[in-house]
Amino acid sequence: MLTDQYQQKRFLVVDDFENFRNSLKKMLFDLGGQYVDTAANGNQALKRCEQVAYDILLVDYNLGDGKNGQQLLEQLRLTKLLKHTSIFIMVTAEVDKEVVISTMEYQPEAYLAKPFTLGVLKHRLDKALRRNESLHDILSALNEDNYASAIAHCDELMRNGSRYSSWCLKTKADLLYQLEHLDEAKSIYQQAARERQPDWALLGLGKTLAKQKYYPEALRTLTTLVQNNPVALEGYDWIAKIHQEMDDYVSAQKALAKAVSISPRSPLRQQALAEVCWRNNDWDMAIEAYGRTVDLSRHSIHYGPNNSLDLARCLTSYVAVADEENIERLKQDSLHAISKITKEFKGNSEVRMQSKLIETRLYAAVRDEKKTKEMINTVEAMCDKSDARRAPETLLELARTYTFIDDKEKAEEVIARLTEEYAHDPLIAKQIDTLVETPVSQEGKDKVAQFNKIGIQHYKNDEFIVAIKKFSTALQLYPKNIVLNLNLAQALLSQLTGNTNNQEYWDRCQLCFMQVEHISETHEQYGRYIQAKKIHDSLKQPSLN
Amino acid sequence: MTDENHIDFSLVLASSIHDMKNSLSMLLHSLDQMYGNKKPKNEDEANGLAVLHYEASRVNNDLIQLLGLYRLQKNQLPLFTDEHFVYDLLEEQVVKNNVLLTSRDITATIDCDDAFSWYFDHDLLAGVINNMLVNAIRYTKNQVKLSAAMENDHLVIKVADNGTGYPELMLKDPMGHMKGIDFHSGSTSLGLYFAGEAAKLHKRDGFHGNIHLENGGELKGGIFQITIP
Repeated sequence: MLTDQYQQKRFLVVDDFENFRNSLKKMLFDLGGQYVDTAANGNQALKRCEQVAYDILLVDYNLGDGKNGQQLLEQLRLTKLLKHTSIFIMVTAEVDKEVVISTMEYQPEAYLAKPFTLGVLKHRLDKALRRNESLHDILSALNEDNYASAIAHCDELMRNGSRYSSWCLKTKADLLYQLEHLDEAKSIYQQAARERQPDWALLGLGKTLAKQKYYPEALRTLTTLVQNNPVALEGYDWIAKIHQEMDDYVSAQKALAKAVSISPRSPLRQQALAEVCWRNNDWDMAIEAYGRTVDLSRHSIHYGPNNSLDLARCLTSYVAVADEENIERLKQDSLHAISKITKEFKGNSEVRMQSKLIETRLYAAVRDEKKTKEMINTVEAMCDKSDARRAPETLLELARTYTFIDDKEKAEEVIARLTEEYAHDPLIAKQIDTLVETPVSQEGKDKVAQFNKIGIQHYKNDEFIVAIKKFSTALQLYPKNIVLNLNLAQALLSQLTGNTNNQEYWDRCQLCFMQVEHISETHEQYGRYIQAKKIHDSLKQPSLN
Repeated sequence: MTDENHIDFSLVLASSIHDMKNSLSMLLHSLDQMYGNKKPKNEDEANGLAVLHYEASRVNNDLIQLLGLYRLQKNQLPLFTDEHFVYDLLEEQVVKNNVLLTSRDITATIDCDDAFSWYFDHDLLAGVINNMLVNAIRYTKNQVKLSAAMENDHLVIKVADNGTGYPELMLKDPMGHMKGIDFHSGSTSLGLYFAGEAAKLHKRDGFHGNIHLENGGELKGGIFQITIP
């Protein structure tokens, strides 16, 4: 069985069992390998990979405590420690469905199911090496991020009728998509999808259509994908993304919940689910998903304070609206989450401040005025002590807290500082939008304008219920926007002045006025505000049964 | 039975199988280590080793099949279809059974275009082909042949041998034997049942996969055929 092709290769064997490591190492020697390193866990493996560019990695999925094989693969891919020309083989004795599905998501070059013989190992290695040799020029170009050259080499192989032509076609289309040559990518996907609907073609087509904003077509394509193959997880992710683009958060939640029920182990998907649940005020689901995000990212490249902070924020926001009977339990959960953050990230002063601010809001939410005051004083003292440039996340947290405890002056001060320093950062700008009357991000400005237009159209057509729905959705995104609030109020009033004696509408109308009551007399919308308020005040509050 | 005694059988099965596969793996590895690079001393020892490998791989296949069947019944067997090279699939099954083939002096040949690829669940089909190959090895005289080609826009894989062929009853209704398990032909019928179900899971444009048995052909023995749309 001795072949020279293994002599020059650098192998890394990763397994937590010494016995397995040794016997695999021996097998590789039997195949003619000479350079074989081993690692007992994910962190050791990472260190080895930082020093040596291995050609072939044989990694067990189960690596005991710490990272598992898939988290290792993910980290090696994202940090580019694993080259495209290298071969990652996932070794597994797993028969658990969840494990199998979750490893599929990061696509190792090959799988090897335990137990395997020397012959089977050689067969898999031979096949993987043969493939990588044939695709060498493409993979090398990918190592250098030279997509144009990779595409040229794909074309060359396809012209020569390579065994790997269909891989080349898929790779070419995906690279064209990355390069935003969307029409070219689309025509490849469309043709492949017509011929035999392989997953990659439907997924690629759906993504391309979504990027070109053909949302209904994109949704149809992706729905076909997940109907053909219910475990095509990326399909659900994109369906959710498109629903979010169309501001249909309920459908987005449904798609993500489905994907998570099939494969619960991806922290990124759990986080996406948590965010949309929060937006939908589905608090219990949001908290569960944030909790899972924290747990699942612990040993992965996605580990960091933000997941834990999100969980604490969500819990605290829930406290503010929860029923009396749940408040105490949620308060304890929040405090527990906050104290965990403080312990886990104690060296990070920004995180410490953010968690203290979240705690401040918690006390404010349970109307513990004494503690609220104490906490905010502590934070302010921390702020004064160091004049270090504050992270935008901390400033956002500060602005949220001042807004929540109704210290308008200080809130405005912080928001002004944020806007001045960070309005150019789209992610931060989006967060600022939720705290101010007029969005600072272009996306936010466009959205408000669009929603207003659609809402007004419906209002003019006397379709008040639809108009109310449109304005309400927009207000979920930009709760302080004056024009939106007044428009909603007007739509609600037109219902209330009719015969609709609706408590919910009355309450919501009241809320709109509360959001804009600080409007200055010089504001262009001031006249409208006064007029609408008069109508509202003239109405009797619907009687409570 | 009270609620406290209620256990998720699927979970128990999966974790026991996981454990057994690990043990099996250790067993085979220590066997290899015991022998190291030494050649078996005599024919008896070589045969003994072959039997050990053969039985271990049979246990392994049975375990996988068992879990597969249980999931089938519970509609929990998800299909992972992807594009694979058919030749590689067939070759790997031959490689898996090399020790057995050599010890019994059986020639295995493959007839399939090297660049021919198709969409299917690799592990599921590998399990089916491996089972049928082991079965053919058991009943053949001295030849087995794996072949694959596209027929009417479907993938057709055949496992043929030059033995005495399948019994008449089985030819008529390959999956029918499952109605009453017969312990003499038990493992073959179970294998066929699994193969039939695995084939059925593959579908495209309204077509479902299927299996078919016949006798004769080039080798004049039994032929197992699986069609994947």
